[in-house]
Amino acid sequence: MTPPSSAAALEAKKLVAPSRSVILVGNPNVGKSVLFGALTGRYVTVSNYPGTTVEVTRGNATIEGAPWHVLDTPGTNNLLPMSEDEQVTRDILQSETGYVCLQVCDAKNLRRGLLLTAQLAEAQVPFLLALNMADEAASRGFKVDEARLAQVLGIDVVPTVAVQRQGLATLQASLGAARVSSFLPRYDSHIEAALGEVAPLMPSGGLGKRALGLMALVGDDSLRGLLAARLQPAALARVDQVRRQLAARYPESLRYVVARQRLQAVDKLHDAVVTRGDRSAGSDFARKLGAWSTHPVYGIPLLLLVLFAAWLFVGLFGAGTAVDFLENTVFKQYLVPWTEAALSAVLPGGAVREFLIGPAGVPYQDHGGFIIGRYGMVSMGLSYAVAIVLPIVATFFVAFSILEDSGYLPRLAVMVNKVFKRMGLNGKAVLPMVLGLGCDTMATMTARIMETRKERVIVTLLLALAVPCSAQLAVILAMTAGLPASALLWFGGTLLLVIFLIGWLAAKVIPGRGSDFMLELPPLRLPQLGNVAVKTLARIEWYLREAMPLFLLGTLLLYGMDRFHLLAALEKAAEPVMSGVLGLPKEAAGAFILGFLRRDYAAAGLFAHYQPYIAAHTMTRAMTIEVVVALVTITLFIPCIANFFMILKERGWKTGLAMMGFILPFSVGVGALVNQLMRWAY
Amino acid sequence: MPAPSSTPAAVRLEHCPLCGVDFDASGQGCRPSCPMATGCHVVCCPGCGYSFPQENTGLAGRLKRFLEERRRAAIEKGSTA
Ligand SMILES: Nc1nc2c(ncn2[C@@H]2O[C@H](COP(=O)(O)OP(=O)(O)O)[C@@H](O)[C@H]2O)c(=O)[nH]1
Ligand SMILES: [Mg+2]
Ligand SMILES: [Zn+2]
Ligand SMILES: [Zn+2]
Repeated sequence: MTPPSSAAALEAKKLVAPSRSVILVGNPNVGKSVLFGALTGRYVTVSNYPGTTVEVTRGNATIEGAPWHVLDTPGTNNLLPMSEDEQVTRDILQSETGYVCLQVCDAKNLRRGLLLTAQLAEAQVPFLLALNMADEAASRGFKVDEARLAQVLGIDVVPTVAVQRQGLATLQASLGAARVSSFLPRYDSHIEAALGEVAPLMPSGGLGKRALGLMALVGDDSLRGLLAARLQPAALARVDQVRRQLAARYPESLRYVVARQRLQAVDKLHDAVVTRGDRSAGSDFARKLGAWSTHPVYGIPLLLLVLFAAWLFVGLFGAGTAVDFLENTVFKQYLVPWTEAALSAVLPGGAVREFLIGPAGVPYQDHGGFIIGRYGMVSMGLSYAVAIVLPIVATFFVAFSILEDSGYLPRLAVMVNKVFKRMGLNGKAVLPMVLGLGCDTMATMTARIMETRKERVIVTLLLALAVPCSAQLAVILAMTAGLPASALLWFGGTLLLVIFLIGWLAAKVIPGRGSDFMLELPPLRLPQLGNVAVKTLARIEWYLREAMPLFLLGTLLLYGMDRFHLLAALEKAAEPVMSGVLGLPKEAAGAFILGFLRRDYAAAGLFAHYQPYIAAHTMTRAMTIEVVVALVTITLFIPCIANFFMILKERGWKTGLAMMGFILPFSVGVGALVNQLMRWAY
Repeated sequence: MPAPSSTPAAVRLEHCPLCGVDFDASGQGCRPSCPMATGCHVVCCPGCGYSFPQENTGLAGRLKRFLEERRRAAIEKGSTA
């Protein structure tokens, strides 16, 4: 085997020399490879780009009688690379010379395509644009004004349906006429001035100096090697100096500032050439609202409004009305007595029957039957899972799906970006954190959204530690009626303090770096009922599949431990901590043990314990303190088994166990502290 | 009965609610080692990494296809009328 790099170099030389070459670029999944196949036919070579596992496909074609060398690149959204794939594409465009580009874009997702178009224009690469998937765009009601687009861009624009070879002939005929686009987004005067100074220093290559200068200005790490090799030390130092002076002008990262300004230019072009048959009315208002929603000042009332609406829906309706109806009407009045009656009818009397459904005449909450009893599958397992947790999870998922479908979610990320920066995170972290309010397990998986390992570890830790999941929220929200607001303030305040403190500390302690935050903001729109229903249903199904077996397993375990007096023994063992340190009733130990099966379980147990007092308005000050301490400790306490496994799977054994080792004593410590503080100050 | 949904390839296409990428979710997801549930239906967007439950399987998938059928029928009726 020859070393890959020299082989690739040899091949490149051999193929490029006699013919012109065209490089296919575009976002992922837009039809580049299909188009490549249509252009080249059968004889292609696939090789790894030197030093990577990224595949690059090359082939030859005769187009309009002339020989062409054709190259298919990995999908890219950005010439400023965020992934290995994107870096390979950027490196190809820089190292090859004398080529033309064929940008393939998805006509029904033109905004994303145009973002890349703007960068190709900045790079002064001669190219033409294939508006692929024209069939799907048309069937979804998108109309693109191609003539206008071609005129503004100053290049040829060809609608295609690659899978049907439609537009292929036009594309081939236009290839020779590929030219540099005149569409140049202007940045603000500071950036343009800095660019004017840096661009002339850039090395020459496939990408123009303006584009390279921009990349150098925003501090692209992947470019550093090239610049170090090709620039004089003095020039390099000058670039760094200009970059630092420019960066000092903006609170956000330069990468973000540049991307935002470019996006603005692209948005304007996009709106001028795309019409959407059905939904164009009212879009002006939507755009204004969209701008407000990320505004540092106007965004806040909007954020509060959104939170308040979510609270009304999830807290009052879900945790209040729906839980009350399911628990007290459906379960207590119908389901439980019916099951009891049905089982009594088929079961013989005596021990078996007593074992399964408990002694006759005793209320089901008070006795020890297996299916119906105090720890029964129906009375506890099912009614916790279905009557208490499900309504809250379901309403939460509805609220989350509405936020998702309306396009507000990514804007939320923009809003909180600054706060999260202090915790070594960026605004994107708000997504797993908000989702964690529904289910921490699901959210832990979503921590993948963060770019660096450090960020993922911090998000995972904060989720496991301090973000209460929906069932706990249920308790908290249901208790808003019975607990004084000041008690809730203690609870909420403690958690927020812990989140910020631990986040801030973790950012200092955990090695590694944070990353910049870039999300393409989809347009704000009225959520579609159908979409919200599909999203919510998908989440509820997922939740049921995961949660229900655990609820039943938990009930079984608890029942077994109770039968064999293990529960009492554990409660006794935990008593010094429970009553001594935390000042809780000893039954709380059971709730904590259950809490490991599902965090919601512990919360639901707590809820069941205090609900009668709350309903009767007979909570004492001591009980209020107990509830707050228990809630704080349970929230901070080790996450549920599912979340624990997810942490091990996503972050690895070492990180997972280290987190547990920290969380266990920390939660009890904070609980004890809150207990003391509240006794003294509440 | 009309043909049951479209091609199997189209059934697996997922749309990321966060960054808007359409991607093929077949053979994807947190599946092979997901600890709690067999055949976990969570997929991860290749564009931005966002994880969300697959919307094209189970009841949600059926609802989605039903809604799509209806929308398509409405559009066709509208364009011929
Ligand atoms: N409906 C439609 N589908 C297309 C078209 N072009 C490509 N596709 C499909 O889009 C998917 C992605 O295509 P591919 O060439 O792999 O995209 P790449 O990632 O850009 O290389 C495949 O399933 C293609 O069959 C088109 O013009 N119309
Ligand atoms: Mg491809
Ligand atoms: Zn995405
Ligand atoms: Zn899974």
